[in-house]
Amino acid sequence: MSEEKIKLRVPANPPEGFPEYVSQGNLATDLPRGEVIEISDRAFADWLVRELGLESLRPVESPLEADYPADFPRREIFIGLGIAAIDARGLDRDGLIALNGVGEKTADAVLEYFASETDGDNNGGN
Amino acid sequence: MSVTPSARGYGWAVQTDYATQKALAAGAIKEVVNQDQNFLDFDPATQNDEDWSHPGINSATDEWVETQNARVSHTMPGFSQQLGELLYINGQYAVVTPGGGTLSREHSFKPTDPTVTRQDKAVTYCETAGAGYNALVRSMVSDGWVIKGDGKGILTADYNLIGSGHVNFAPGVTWYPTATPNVARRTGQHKLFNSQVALVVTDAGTPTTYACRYRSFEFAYKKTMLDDAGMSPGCGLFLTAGDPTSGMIRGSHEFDKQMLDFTLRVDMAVGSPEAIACQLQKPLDILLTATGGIIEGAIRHKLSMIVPIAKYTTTKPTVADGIMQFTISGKALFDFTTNKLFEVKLINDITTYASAF
Repeated sequence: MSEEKIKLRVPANPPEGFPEYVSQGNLATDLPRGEVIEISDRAFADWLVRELGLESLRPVESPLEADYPADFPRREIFIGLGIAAIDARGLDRDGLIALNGVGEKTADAVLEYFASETDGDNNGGN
Repeated sequence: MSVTPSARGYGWAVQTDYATQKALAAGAIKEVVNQDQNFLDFDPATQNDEDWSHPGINSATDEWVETQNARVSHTMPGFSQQLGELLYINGQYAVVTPGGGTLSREHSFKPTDPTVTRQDKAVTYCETAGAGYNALVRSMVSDGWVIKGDGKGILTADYNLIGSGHVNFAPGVTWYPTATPNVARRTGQHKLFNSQVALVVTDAGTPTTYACRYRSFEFAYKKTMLDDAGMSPGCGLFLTAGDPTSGMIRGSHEFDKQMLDFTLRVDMAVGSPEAIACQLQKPLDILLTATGGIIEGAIRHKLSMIVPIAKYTTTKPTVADGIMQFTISGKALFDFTTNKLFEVKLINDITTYASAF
């Protein structure tokens, strides 16, 4: 059983006969029209989606989040600044440090990361 | 003063989970009106040392309790409102306000989806027979119900409650005529009768409305229970917490299989269509309704038993009321189209069973 709450959206204009409240064993929820409900139990949430057509509100990954690998140094700063990875790659050390929130240490880590990527690419070739 | 059966009383309240007893407070428990005079079958499982080696002794010298057990069987009258409580603890539940309704609600009950949970709701149950007997059992689950109607009488529902084993014979539960008792009295119930029943059986899209040919019905929903699995030694749960000599009690009580069998009795018709349906094993759609009095506008108390796919297992000519009839037995099959074995719909004036008892 998951501890994390699963968010589901109840249809705003459901078909006639759509329930106002449902339960399965000791698992239960109100179904207020058009509102987001939170469910603790994964199996119950799946059932609500499957049987009643509730919309599962999974976190949507922004294009920039996909742009930066999970291990990219302080990736949240670059995503927050709205800078595409290709633009960050074009910056030198001073250019990186000029960005709001990027210090010398982060700038060096980023340059090292890009360098390792390049090494990896070169090593992968013939 | 003698204590007569009129002193007997029963009550229940839904628990938030299997283990937690409903806290006693004024009106926290709802009276259950039953037709029978049954009481708890309290049956601790004991062992003794009768067969153990004791030179020169051919009798038991010791006896001890291994598990605590308690169960009870009852028959309740077909009260539109109370019937919903039995259906509520037995499965999946949904409620909606019918079109044009403000006071009325349509409650839907189906078997619990085993992919979601196998633990149905538990109740705290109590019973009394006057001042001399007062018992409170926590964590009782139902293993199904048998709803039936026959002749001119009221519909009835048979049911069992099976407990965790935790029984309190000095619970301090208060009943009427105590002022503000723990057990709230049940009043204003609407009765449903067999004379209000309509039966429609649909074969490949062609409905047969039985009307005057209908005589009686019985729908039996049965869950096989994982009785032993709930008595888990590792849980360390005992009648008296922390006292392993007081007897194990259950930490859960899940169901395994769910099934619905039915029996219908109808007057014979030319060509014996019921016998042929049985012979050909036709898949049939059964809708049985009992329509009672008005709640508001044109909305009436109504019980609907819906079986999307049923097959007759036997049809036998029988004599009843001095005429030849067919007694049909059958079984519901899970319907992948509607994703259910059966559904019971109940329209009444209960706002929601989630807070009704």
